[in-house]
Amino acid sequence: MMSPLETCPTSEQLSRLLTAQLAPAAERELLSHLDTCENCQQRMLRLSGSDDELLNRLNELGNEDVSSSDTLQRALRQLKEEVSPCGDDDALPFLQPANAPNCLGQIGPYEVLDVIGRGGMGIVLKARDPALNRLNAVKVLLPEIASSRRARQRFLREARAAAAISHENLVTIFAVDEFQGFPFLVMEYIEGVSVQVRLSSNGPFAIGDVLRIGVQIAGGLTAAHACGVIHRDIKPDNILLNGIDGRVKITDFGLAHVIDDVQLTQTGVVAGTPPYMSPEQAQGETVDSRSDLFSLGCVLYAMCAGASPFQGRSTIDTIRRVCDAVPLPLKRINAQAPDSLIAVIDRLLAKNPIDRFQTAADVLAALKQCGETPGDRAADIRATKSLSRNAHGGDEIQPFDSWSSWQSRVAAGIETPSIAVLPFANMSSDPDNEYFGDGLAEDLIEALTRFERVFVVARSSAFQFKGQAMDVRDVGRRLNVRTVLEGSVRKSGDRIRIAAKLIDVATGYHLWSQRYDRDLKDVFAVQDDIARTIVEELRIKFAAAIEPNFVKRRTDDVNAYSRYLRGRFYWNKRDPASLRRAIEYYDQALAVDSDYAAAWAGKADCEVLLADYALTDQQQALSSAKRCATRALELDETLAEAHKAMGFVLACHDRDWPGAERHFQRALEIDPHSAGTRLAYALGVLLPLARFDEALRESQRAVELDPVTPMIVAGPGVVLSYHRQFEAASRLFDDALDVDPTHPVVNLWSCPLWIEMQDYGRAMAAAQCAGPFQLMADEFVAMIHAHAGRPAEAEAILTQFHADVDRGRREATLSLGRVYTALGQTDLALTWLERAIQERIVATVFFNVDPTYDRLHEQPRFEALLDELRLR
Amino acid sequence: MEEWPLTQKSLLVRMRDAGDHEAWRRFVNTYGPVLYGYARRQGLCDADAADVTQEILRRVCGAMGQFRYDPGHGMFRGWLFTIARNSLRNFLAAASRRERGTGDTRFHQMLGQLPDEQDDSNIWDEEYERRLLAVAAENIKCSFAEATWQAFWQTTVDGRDAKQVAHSLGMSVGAVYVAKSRVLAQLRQEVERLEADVELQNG
Repeated sequence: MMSPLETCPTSEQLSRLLTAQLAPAAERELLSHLDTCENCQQRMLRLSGSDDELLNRLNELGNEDVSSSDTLQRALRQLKEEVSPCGDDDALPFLQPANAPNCLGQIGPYEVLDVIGRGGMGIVLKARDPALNRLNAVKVLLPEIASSRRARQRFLREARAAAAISHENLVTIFAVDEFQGFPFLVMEYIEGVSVQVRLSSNGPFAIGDVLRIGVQIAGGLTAAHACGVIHRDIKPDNILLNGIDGRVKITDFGLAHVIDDVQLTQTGVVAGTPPYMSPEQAQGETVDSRSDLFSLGCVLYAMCAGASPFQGRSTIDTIRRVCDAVPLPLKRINAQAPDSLIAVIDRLLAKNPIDRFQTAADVLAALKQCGETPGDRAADIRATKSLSRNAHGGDEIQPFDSWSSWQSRVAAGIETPSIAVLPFANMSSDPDNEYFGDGLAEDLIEALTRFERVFVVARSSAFQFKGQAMDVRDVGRRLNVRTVLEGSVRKSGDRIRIAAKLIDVATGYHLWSQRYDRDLKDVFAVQDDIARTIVEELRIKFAAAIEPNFVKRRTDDVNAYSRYLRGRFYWNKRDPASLRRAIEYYDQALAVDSDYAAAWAGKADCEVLLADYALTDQQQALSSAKRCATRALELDETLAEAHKAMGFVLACHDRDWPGAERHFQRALEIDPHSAGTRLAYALGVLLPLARFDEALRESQRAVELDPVTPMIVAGPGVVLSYHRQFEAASRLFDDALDVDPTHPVVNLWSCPLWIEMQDYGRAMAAAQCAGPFQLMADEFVAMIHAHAGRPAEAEAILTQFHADVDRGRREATLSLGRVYTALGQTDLALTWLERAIQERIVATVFFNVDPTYDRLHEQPRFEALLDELRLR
Repeated sequence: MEEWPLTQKSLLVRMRDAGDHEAWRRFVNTYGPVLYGYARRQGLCDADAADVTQEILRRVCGAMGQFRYDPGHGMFRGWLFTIARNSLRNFLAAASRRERGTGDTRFHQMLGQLPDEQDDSNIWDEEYERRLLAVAAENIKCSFAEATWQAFWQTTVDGRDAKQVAHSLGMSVGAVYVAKSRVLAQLRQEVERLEADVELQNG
């Protein structure tokens, strides 16, 4: 009998107890301490993250039980059947009524107690074997898969092969059977969680655990491979951690193969789990046991890094990375990983099976050795540095590696001070105050961007995790930064409470944290204080020379500031209605403080965006934009946004190309990290002037700065499609559309490309996604009809354009010119194009590069137009 | 049990895909009880509340295609509330028209007694959080041994003393606290997961 611990355990010990990571003896010792120590009982509860609010709400649940209403359950079942007529997925059609109480039903002799989980292939049940009075897990093939005879046979064959192997690290299969057409297998029941569950809840594993678990996986694979059984789907979900003895159990041997039979014929998708798949498997080639070793490498990497090395933005992206990408060096993500383990993982991840370990037994031996050598901690700083130089050095144009070069460049940025500022959580009772937290973070991003040697993650990238329950360190790793600033803001009447903390991504330590309880009018002082402190912390942490350069406060009036932030909030949404609202708020801010430069600049940019998509009278909007930008620059020449707006107006309205270029370059000098400005420069100046190489380079830099926003990602596609590199352009558009297939702007931009490629079906689909941009969408529809030999349909839309012009919608003149061009009616086309130039329609600047006008280039009248636009 | 992809698409985005029955099933299982609980709180009887719940879920299904999804905390909750509130009013108005002539004024009265928007929104928040918690508990229940679950349930929901519970389950007091803490930790995560599922960025 063990005596209780005299002293209270550490929090570390308690949290290991909570996550069932203690050895049995240590667990018993702690349990007996907990029997009597009330203090530790409460500590334990706190560690679980529960608070009084949660406990109270749970207690209220006891008063009544709504979900037990049979009427409700019947109603819900009926609904589910309406949507998926092939049967209610909740139903377990293979169950027979059970004799024993508290059972869902029976399958064969087994009494089903509960549903443990549902996968793509089967349902896993918790069941009792009455003969042995033993708990089992029973996996039943899903009805829709069981209906394929081939899949059924394969399931039985694979399961029987796996059942023949007995090893302590493989889930034991007791029986394989079929019951009324439903094949099922009976396995040992594991009380515990999968590596995936542990990863999602606790993040990366301690290195000691990675080695311990890795050795056991390799042990299990050795046994299976010796019997000629390949797993085919080694991934964190299939590695179970027994909560009782800590032993590792691999489950689902060979079963992925069953899905192959069904899916290959149905969808052409390969079975397996893309981020953990070997390249040969992803390419649908034959696989051998070395494919499992690659997957094991991915699992070990994920256990150290928190996610698979090949996790992409979409399935296609992931598969491409599995096949081509070199993973981010593990050392950069997890400094604790010993070189010996990294070497093992690197070798497992070799693309060519010949370059990997050849057997699981070899991996087992290598992993055991890692455990014996003390952690070789020599940080490989030199290698990192030389790599960062390489990544910065090259300047060639490589259309297809923008994502990976961004990755490596940002990874290189790891050696320099880098920070992501996350939106401040809105803790106010009014959800409407969300704009305030967003705005605070944005202002900080802008303030930090002005420090030359700090890498600040772009707003769109940093904000993409908003509202997701994700650990800050994971966010930091995903964004490849060393530090993350997160905070919250509570605004109530004239008081604000702002809390902020700066977190070291590698260790999770707080480098700094502070809470401010102030009057609303002090918000500027708080912001300055936060920015100053962060820079100070970064300077200490990275021993970097960062020039102090504090933001200029743009207004002293809190009311004006608060309206301005609302304006920015809507401006960021970018859709037409929000842009108009943003202008209203900027106007309100300016009514309070007419010298508010940032509000003038913001308004200018809204007008430019509305004009760019022909959502408003372009002449009016651009004249207003020019007035606003001029005023903004008079007040503050360092406002990048105002330079950008001015550049756009000078290019697309005034056709003053050198002037436009000067303003864009000044904007980029002030704010080199703005992806939006780079893209605007590329598409608004460089592309119209047919400076394709520069346009491509700038648009690619924009993607490096912001690989998340679909419009930015599509930018290089626009350049390439005007450069007649249709194939390459179409791949880039596909990338951008992977992110958001119905994105109106990306679809709009891609439309001319599909027309050039004579894929009229796709062009039509793209035009239909461009709903908010009615005029441009209609124009494309008419052009598609014209090209596809349906002139009557095109004429119908032309009638509507004529009516638009009559009603004073100037932008329709260009639409007429373009559609007549597509119809081959050259004289009419030229007449309308001339008119469009007189009306200063924005998109006329593309006359020299847009393939639409190729057939007009011989015409003297068209050549004259190019001269008028000063494009030559 | 989460399936690939790890970078999850929001449940709402998945529901726009007509073939994704699993998304719909999960949505109905999670939000059905929320809507039902809300309807009951407004005084509807079991059968009427189930009817309204069905109707609201049908509207949600139809509206899903138009829901301009913009990630942000609480967005979805507010959106669903608007639909729920309007549907409930429509239901009561229709029922009240039907009862004219029967002499019954039950629904007519209910319609007159509906809370104002602020109170209603509070009721909604309360039900939303409570139901989501119950659904979360239901979801994770199967991943625990019966004794572990009972130790948690009896000490929290039933509000019983840890010593008594330990005695009746044949566990040590320390084991009861560990069991309770383990379930609570998972429960909290499951609630976060459910919430994140409808607040994730448009994938």
